[in-house]
Amino acid sequence: MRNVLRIAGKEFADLSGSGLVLVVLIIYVALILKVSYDTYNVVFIQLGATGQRLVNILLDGVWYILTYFGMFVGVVIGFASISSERHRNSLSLLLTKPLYRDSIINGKLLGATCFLACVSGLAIALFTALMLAIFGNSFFTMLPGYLENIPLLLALSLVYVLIFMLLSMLISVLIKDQAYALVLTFLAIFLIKMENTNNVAGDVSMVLTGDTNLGNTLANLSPFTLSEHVSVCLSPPAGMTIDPAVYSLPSAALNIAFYALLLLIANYIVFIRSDVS
Amino acid sequence: MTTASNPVLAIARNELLKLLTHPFTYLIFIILVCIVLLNSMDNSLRTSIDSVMTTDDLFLYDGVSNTTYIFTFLCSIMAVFIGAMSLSSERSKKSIGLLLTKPVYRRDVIAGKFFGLSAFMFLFIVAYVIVDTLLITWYFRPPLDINDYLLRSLSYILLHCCLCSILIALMFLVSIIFKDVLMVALISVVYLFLEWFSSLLVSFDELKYFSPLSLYDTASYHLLYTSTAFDSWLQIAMPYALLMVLETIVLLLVDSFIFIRTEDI
Repeated sequence: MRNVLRIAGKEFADLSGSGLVLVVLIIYVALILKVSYDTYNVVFIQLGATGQRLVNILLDGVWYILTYFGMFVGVVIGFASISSERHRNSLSLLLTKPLYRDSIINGKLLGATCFLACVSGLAIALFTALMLAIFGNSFFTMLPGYLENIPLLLALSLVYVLIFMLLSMLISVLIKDQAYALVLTFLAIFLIKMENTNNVAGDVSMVLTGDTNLGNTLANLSPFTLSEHVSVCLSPPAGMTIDPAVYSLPSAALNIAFYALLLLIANYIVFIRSDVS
Repeated sequence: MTTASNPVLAIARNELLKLLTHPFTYLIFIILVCIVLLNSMDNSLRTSIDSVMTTDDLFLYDGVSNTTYIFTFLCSIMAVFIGAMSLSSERSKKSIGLLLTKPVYRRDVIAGKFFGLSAFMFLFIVAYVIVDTLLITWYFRPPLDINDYLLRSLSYILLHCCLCSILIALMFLVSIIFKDVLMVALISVVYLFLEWFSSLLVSFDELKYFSPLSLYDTASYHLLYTSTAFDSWLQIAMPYALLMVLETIVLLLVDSFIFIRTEDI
């Protein structure tokens, strides 16, 4: 256990000092500022929402920042975790130490997850501070209701972003050329992105069955679709009645956790069994 | 003028051959062929079921345009990757030092690599358009007006080549400025993310005339709609296409300028 914690601490420190991660965090802050500005436009100018409606929209904004943009941060953290060591040839050195391989992967995952949790927490803090500055008292009075949903949102978004971080780590371990691995990860994410899944799933459904039912089922398997379902549950569009058979927060959360678990197992298998050098 | 006597052609030929044997090329092409095949098969079924109220030729309006978004993205990812890795991988393998000991001007290295990569992208795009045309013709029907289709296809190919050329030149600049291959790969992926996943770049009105994707989108608007006459489309698209070419030339000049003056390669 002590070795796992040592490796986790080292991983956290490496990620904190990584130039790659720093570049992405700067971009992330810029994107948070943009989302804050867009939220102000939508809420204040267009919808004029107040009270619970305002809280729902802000929670949706938090979810969007943590998942849609956070997924990119997760990819880079996963990539930096493996590639920087591989690039410096220090991964081979680490593997020669009297450590079990599962201790190494446990430590790396723990360190990377803790770093991701810190980044997500800071992102929420930044967004909340900006919203307080913009909306003032109309948001301040609803702050308790907003804050009581934040822990669940943070935990769920962390599991969601873990999907992409684990995918990135998996591809980085499998592919020796690290630059190639990063581009392949990005390509994989693009191919499972919601619109593409819907298009391709629709085509597959029409070709195989002549209707779109299979396509809807396939499209619902995409993590992006699951994220969209969570977003609808958090902030249902005005006048829309949510069908619990389609939009279910527990169901979406379970599916997201299942994907993360699958990728975690895959990472263990590949890291422990492959000849990593 | 043989490749032996012209260093630009020799470097271009070398780049082209490297890419024609890279597995990434075949991976992207196979993905595209699968998507186009599914789309063609679905298109033939859907148009027999749906009554489509349009005067546009469905070959382009439905068949080709359904896969344009994915094709444009995959071309972009290809162009960004090959542009970024062309110089960076040579630097990380230390072969750039050997290349620069040869009697070759540094500007010729940039020009040769650019022409090689652009020639590869041209061949890639043409191969895709041919496969797309054949599959849609097989499963659906040929275009209604062959001459109009050829003009629009050629414009489609040239616009994609312009987009890819800008991206290649831009990635050359990134790989000249940043020495670390991982940082170059990261910046190329960050760029793709900002252009395709977030609307951060286009939210600034001034950047609309510099963003390669915005210029491409504006130039290609209504290209695949036969209800818009080709001449009308060309009149509107020409300034944007010329702007894309100008941007490529400026980027290449900047690349050459910085590369020539960089001491620590």
